[in-house]
Amino acid sequence: MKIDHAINTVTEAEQDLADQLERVAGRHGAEHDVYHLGHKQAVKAAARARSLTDFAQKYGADAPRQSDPDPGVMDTLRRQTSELLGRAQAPGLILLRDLQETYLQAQRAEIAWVVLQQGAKACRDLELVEAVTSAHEECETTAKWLRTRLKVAAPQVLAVG
Amino acid sequence: MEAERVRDVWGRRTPHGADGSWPSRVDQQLLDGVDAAMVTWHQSACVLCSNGCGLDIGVVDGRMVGVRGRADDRVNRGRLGPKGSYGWQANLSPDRLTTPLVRREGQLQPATWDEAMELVVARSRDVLNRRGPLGMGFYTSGQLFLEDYYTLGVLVRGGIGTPHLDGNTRLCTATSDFALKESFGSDGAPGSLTDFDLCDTIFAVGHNIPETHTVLWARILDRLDGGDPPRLVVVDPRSTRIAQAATVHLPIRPGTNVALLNGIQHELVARGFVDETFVQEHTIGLERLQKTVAEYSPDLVSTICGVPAADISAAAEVLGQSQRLVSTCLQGVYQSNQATAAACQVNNITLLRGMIGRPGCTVFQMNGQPTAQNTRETGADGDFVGMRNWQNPDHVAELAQLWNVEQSQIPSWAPPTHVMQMFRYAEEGSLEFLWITATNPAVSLPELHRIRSILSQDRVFVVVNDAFPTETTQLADVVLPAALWGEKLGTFTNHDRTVHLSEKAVEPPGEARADLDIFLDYAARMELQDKDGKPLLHWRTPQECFDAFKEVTRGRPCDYSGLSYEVLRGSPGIQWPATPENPSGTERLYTDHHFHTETDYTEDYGHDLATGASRERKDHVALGADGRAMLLAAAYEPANEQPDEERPLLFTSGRTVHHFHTRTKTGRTPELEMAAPEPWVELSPADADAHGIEEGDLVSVESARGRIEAPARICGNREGVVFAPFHYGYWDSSASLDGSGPGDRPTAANELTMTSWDPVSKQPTLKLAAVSIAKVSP
Ligand code: SF4
Repeated sequence: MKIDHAINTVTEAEQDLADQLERVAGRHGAEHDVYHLGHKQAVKAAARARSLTDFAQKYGADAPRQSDPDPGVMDTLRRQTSELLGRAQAPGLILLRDLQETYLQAQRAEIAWVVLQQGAKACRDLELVEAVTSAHEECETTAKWLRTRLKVAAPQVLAVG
Repeated sequence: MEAERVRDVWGRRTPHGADGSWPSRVDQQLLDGVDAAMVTWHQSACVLCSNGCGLDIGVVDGRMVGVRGRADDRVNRGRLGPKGSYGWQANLSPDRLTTPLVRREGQLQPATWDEAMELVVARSRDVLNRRGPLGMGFYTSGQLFLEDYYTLGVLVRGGIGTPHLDGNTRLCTATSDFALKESFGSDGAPGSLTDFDLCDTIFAVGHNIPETHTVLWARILDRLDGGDPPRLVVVDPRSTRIAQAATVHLPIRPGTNVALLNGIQHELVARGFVDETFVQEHTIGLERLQKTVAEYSPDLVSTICGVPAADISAAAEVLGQSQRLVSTCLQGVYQSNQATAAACQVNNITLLRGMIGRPGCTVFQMNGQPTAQNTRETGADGDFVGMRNWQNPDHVAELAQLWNVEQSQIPSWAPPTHVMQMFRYAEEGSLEFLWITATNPAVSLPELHRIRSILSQDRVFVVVNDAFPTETTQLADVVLPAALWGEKLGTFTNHDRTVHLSEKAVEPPGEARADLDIFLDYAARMELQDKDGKPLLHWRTPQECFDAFKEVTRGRPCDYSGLSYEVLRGSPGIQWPATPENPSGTERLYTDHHFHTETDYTEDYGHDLATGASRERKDHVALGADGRAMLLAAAYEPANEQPDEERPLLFTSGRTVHHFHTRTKTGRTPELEMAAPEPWVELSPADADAHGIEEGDLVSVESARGRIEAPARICGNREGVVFAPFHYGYWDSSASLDGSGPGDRPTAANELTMTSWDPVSKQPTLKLAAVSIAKVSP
């Protein structure tokens, strides 16, 4: 049984997603919805990783990080600069790049949950199946939010001369 | 002038039982010394709140001299509140704008219409050339007429081709609109104001009816004084008059609506108050909802909301036992934390109890501004015209055909841009042209120092249509003087879908023009054309515009096709949908319990309530609602800003009965201005005590964004909650330098509020900010 591998993949993907969301939220402090929702989604992604703590132990996988997402030391600085630079031109391209990267990371986490879910089903671990199902759905929502936000942001950045 | 309606806001009682026979009571107000026999009367309705009370405008010698309620009008049966009785005098105000103004060397100076419009057109062309259509933004109102909005909507979406068009309805009823779309598949109040006459229970969530909709409150008072009065369940952190009349009052901690409403649903489910048959046949989503609300026991909810668990159960008991329930929400939901999620929970309660589509049973996601409903119907805000779905290519194609433009011309790649996003684009520099009509963002948007600084930038060209100098006109590059209600012909629709005709009773002052005419002039100068090279706006008069609009609503939820000026003239108000087969309109929607949720018909595929992630077509198909209403689950999430050591109190704002919005009209009405000349700050006795503040002391309230000052009123608010009315800006402040900003005496509540909005409706969270207070002087 190699469920531990699948758990590790999910945990890593969600933790990375959490950190990335936190960084992106901070970097785009002047985009107030990205800031607030990005931060909230980061906390949720970290919590999703943590929700596997007992299963990680059961299957001998690595223990998920118990702390909140880590934006890195530069975060406060980044947030302040972002608000100050609210007037600067062309933050848009950076926003697009950041949202796209984060979307891909959310997709990585999403498919990791799918893989784990398949394993859990085949091992008939119904408790794990249930835990994975609701986390997977929430992860999908994070991706959909990023997709929605990107679809709104892209035209203004790309089409304005 | 006898200011009777100021002293006696709701007027004489005319009690009645639950039989739907609300008596008429005609209120009339004439200027002193006017001979009533000389007055000619012109049909209209009041434009000072969304109730839209039917009235006649009195005229002598071409001058407005008074108003009189229309006895047979279905909305008010003759009654008028204080704003309706006196507010029309703003039209007579000596400081009306009567000529265009153009900024020259930093100063706004009089100009001719030609000069002003040529400047607007030159700047439009310049921005279109350099930046393209997405460099242009338009921000309109909830106080114009249907014809003004529709003209603007076609001009912007079909002509200029930018998605950046929103209304100040975003601050007022965006959440109403979105909550109705999420739960029932389209905008449009399901019920009728007559349901208040027939119900046995009223559930008011964050809706201070006595102050916001005075004539509706008079209607309810008549029930409370009559036989078989309804019971009231009221959710409001303040001890308002409606709270005092309640069977159960829940003064919850601001920002916790979803937790409370989940708690109530928990109790409805646990105690068997769910109408199983209705829910089974006419809704989807019960299983998930049950799973979510199961966690919200009254004990847990009590700790989140700060109200006793027993009161939560008692509220559920009253709602559960009701046979005819009317629920209503307003800004305490819409401008608070988790706005759309909370409003949808009230819809859920309606559905769980099966209280919709029959007499005395409905939910009102109430409106605030008089014509907000039309902004939504005409697509002059975040909606698509005729309640179409921007994500549905068939709907866009239909519109393109009706307008005779290429489908690609109509921006439908993303939802229409909300105002906070537009201001962000103006802040970062990609939007350089902003045309504001009949609204005052320099007082009404959050975080005012930011808004003022965005509007003051040289690189953003700001055009403002208004009837008065306002804080916003002071920051504009071009100001265009607008005709007011009574000075132009048109129609508008209230919060129970009642359409009224409003006659032109007098000429506008000076060179002021109707917004409709200003837009037509602009479109002609810009040479906006359809795909055959004909003028895109092919109407010249309000009536022709109305007829064009009728066509685009045919077959949609807001079907106006059976209406005309002839039908409306002399009518007591007609509720849409009104078709040629059914020209007298429709009192209640969903009487067959079939909702607007078929994928091909629905106005919106819906959103995730927590993030605002859009559902795409395939997601909506997968839900399989197919005419059933949606029960929508939402977990409680704390607000974006929480009190802390530095700012330990929660600030919330609201209205007072005598004023409307930023006082541009009511501040120019002697009786109303006299009744409420000054702002104030409400504190609970405990908070006042803790800071050594006594009644009348000047108090400073400070948030992370700004500060206001006003005298203290000590009253029965819940501890930890600070309230101030949001009306008081600077146009008439002696401390202000130019009438745009505070000088050394900040009073506008939005100095304090945060730049944050609901993820679904994008309505700013104006009712929540962490603040500290201090005594400035006795
Ligand atoms: S209730 Fe509203 S519409 Fe009626 S008179 Fe008062 S302000 Fe006007």
